[in-house]
Amino acid sequence: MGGRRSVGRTVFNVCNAVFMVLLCVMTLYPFLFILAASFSSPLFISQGKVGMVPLGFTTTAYHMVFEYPMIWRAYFNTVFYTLFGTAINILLTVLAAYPLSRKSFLGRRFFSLMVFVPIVFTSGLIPSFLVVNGLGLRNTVWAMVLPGAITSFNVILMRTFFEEIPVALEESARIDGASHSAVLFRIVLPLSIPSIATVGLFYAVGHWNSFFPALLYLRDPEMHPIQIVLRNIVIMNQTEMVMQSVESDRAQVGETIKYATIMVATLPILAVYPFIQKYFVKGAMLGSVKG
Amino acid sequence: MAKLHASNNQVFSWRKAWTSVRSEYHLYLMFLPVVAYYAIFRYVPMVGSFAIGLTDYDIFKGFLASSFIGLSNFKDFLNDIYFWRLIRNTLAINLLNLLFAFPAPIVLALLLNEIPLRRVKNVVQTISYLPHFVSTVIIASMLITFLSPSTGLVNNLIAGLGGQRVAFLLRPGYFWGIMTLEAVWQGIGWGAIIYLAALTGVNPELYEAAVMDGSGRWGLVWHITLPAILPTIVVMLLLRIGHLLEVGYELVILIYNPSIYSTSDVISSYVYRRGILEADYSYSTAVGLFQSVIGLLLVVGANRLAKRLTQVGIW
Amino acid sequence: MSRRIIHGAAGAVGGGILAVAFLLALAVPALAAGTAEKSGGGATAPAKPVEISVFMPGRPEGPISNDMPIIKAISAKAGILFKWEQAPSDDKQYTEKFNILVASRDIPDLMVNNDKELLNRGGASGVFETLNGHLDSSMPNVKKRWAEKPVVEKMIRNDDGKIYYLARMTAVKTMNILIGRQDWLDKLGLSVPTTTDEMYAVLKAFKDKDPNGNGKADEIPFTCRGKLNSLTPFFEAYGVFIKEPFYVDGNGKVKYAYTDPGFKAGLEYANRLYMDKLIDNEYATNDLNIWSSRLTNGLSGMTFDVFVRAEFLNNLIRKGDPKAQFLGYAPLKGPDGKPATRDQQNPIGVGTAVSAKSKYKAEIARFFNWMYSDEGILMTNFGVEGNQYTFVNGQPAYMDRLMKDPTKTPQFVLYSEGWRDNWPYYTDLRYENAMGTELQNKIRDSIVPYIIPNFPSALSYTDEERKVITGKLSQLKTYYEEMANKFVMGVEPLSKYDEYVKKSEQIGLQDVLKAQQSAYDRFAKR
Repeated sequence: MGGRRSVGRTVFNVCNAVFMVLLCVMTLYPFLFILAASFSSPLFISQGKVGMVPLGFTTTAYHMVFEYPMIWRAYFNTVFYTLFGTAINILLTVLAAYPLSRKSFLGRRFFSLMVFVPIVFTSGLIPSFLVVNGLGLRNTVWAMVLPGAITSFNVILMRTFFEEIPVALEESARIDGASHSAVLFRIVLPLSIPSIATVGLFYAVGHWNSFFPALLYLRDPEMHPIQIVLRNIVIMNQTEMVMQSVESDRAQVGETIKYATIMVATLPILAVYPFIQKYFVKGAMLGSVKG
Repeated sequence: MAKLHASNNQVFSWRKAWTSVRSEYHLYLMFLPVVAYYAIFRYVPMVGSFAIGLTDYDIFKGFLASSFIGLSNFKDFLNDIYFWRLIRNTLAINLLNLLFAFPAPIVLALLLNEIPLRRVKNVVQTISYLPHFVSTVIIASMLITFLSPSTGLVNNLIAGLGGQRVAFLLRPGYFWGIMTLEAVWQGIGWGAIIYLAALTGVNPELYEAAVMDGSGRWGLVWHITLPAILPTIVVMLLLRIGHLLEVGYELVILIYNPSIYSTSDVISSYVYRRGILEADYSYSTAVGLFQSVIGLLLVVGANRLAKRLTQVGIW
Repeated sequence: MSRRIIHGAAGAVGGGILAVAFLLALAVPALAAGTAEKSGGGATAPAKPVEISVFMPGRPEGPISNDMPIIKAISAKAGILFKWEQAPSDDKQYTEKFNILVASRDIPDLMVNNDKELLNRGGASGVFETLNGHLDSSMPNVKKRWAEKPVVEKMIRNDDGKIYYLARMTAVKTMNILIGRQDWLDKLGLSVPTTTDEMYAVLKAFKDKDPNGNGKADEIPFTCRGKLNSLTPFFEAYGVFIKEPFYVDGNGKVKYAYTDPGFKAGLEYANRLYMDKLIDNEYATNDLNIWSSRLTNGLSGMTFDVFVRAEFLNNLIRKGDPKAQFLGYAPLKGPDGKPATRDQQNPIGVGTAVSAKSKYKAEIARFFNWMYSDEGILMTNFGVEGNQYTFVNGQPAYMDRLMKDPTKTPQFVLYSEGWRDNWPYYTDLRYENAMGTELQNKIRDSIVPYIIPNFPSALSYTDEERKVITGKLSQLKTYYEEMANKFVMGVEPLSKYDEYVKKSEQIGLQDVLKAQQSAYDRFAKR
């Protein structure tokens, strides 16, 4: 019997391994292509010959990208908005998710609905802008951080995770006289590192890729994030857009630059996840519930 | 004293409520900024959206000079000759999505969980979410290149195996499949993150006990793992259902073409084209409201069902 | 921490502005003396530069800034310090921000948009300034140029006679044309095709006679990247210009191109080409990458594209095949023997409107006037003398560093140094002469005789008309696009053409035509 089980397990492991390899190939390929293209010469790219290896190796595209005015300032801004924004996001999301996860919270169902409805009814651009403008937030850091301070999706996600934490923990602490704040900060949060990491990652990526809010609200070039500077290039060339000026042949920017831009704009945020992977540790609650 | 019945069937009394709030006031205090946020940044603009969709608003008139036209925009939309086709295409793409792209990350998370070496697991997982970061423009370009009948990779493979070359993007029947595959590819790695996080909350002692009871590998998954992440799955599903009438236009307009409009033209792409002809803010807002209302109704129904079956719901 | 950064940033920007303003204040008196002598009564620059906010489309080369040499020079001449409202280069996002800015009533002084009807509506509702008075009092240069080309004013003027925006006067006849491998024609002993039959023969020869010499019948004679619209040349021969749904016949009647008998003839021709695999069977999905790959790999020998692409393709393909030669060709003749093309630029470019609440309308009017002075024309077209261009034999010519840059096209360099074609200026034909190579200019000039005017893009509609058109036109267009492609690809047999016409009528074609007709009639009387 033991022999049969280990054969089954081996078969499974092999299949799993094959699947994982295929998955990696399919998900890695486009990325390798972009990387290769960013180092290739335009002729080969236009001939469609570039696969996973650069052809006609050249670093010109990267030179050009880094020569963009204010690119380093833009990088700095993006990092700042991401860190600052995510911190606020996590704080508010936690403050929202915790009460919603407590059964004794009066109006729980009502407020859950309040949080959910904006997921389905997205507010229009014009009204949102009028609100932000009306509050005088235009051209300040707050315009980048406040309007998106809470994403309902993340609140509901975190609430679900909070609800998984055994009620016994909360109850025993409350019996000992702890306030809800104490329960939240001393018991629930330490047990929620994976969910905070997850939600934090989602917010961070959102900030990093954010483009349109910055476009709308920030006037000073000093405050621009990199997406403003770099996104323009990628969108061009691909669609026959409507501003039918026959002459404005927009492909003045080489193909290579487009790919180099993508790399420059995306690599940093990609590098974040491996660092927080260590927070996704199993059995975080091991030993916390006794009896 | 008024007695109202709350959802947990206890008799409701104002005095009890007040005592409860007073003893747990931290809870309510910490929720205050949240309410403020939603009121200011979500609900006020929402009112604005309704105002735009239900009046003949245009950017020059402003809100005050616009007159109420009620459901006139919706009537226009419903009477459009393509209305049913758009609904059908949008729903089809989303339902297929639900069928394949929704479970894929779950399956991946479970499979990743079975990888013994943590290093390998982490590496595979990191690679798997890369597609999430590839911009729509690049994805479209790649799809067009790969699916080209004359020079695309897929057709070269098919021809190599002795088959007939297929113009995938020129035949209406393939579009839904292409969108589904793309959704799976792009979302599988990133979506798995949520489920992996949920999996960390499963108490290992439960596994040990089950193994000792003679449970096989599949028994573990079926009886321990899945029930443990069920709340997450249900919630994610419900959230998805709210968007059942929404398919983003970005990818669609980059890979569709008029010869396959019959299956590829969705609500958002049609409204997009209309918006190019004439800046018709009020109309596109109204269509958006329509999608939202339907989405909300669907979630209300689904939520009720979910609570009945699994005790888990959004509210 | 954030506040410090805000204050720091604000301080830096504020300091920067003060510095520039200070320098300008020093420099301006010296310039003022100089500019007053130039012809056209150029700007008598004020003592202190005024700050004018501008919203105009962005460029992929990079965000615009006051440090760019051309911008600096224009600033100095106009006595204006520009505050740039950040703008994307993507049309849809630009339009969204435009709408939002207008809706918020926090409108920059200058607003640029390609939708003339929108600008007119804005003017009529009082959001944009009426410019008639300013034109008469402070813009003589502009009026002079307009007098030389009456169609410009006719297009800009609204039906009620008011002028709500200025637009760039285009001079260049930029267009889409047939571009093909001349060396293939030579190799196969063929002459340039001028009729539909000759084109068929040429494409057939490309397909059968292996001009790329690799022994494989892999040629895709005609390819393109603009989907159905790239098949324009095959319809033009029959007098139908498929990029425009409407056209005006000899009697001033607005007609619908997509139910015209010529349209059916064009469909039949295109369908024949398609079924015989002379047109790229993937034309409906090709994007830039596939298109350039076909042409630079020697798979295709004919295309329809912007005329400057001939040069672009030559540069690319010669890296691998030095004998390759792309040339431009005249439109095809159909049965009525009159080759013509409408696929060219409008007499006016994007429009610039002035916010009614602007505090600097007088200065803006002066600025516009300066743009139409000889000095202004030179600067807006060519840049700064000695920096971007110099005079060679009395004509402006771009400097070598622009024309001979190994990685960037001359236009790229110009754009990145502050040149913009969004200003409402006067385009000097010499600009394109200087910008293009001899080959390009020759191609362009050879096509000019065939150009006939396109449907006016600056019609104004009443609310009623707009409602009818918006409601029905998107349905009509969707139907047309779907059916046209199906007819060409043979998915739908041409015997069903009459049904297609009937269905178009059912959707409401007559109502749309009526609305367009009344709008056009008003336009004709402007």
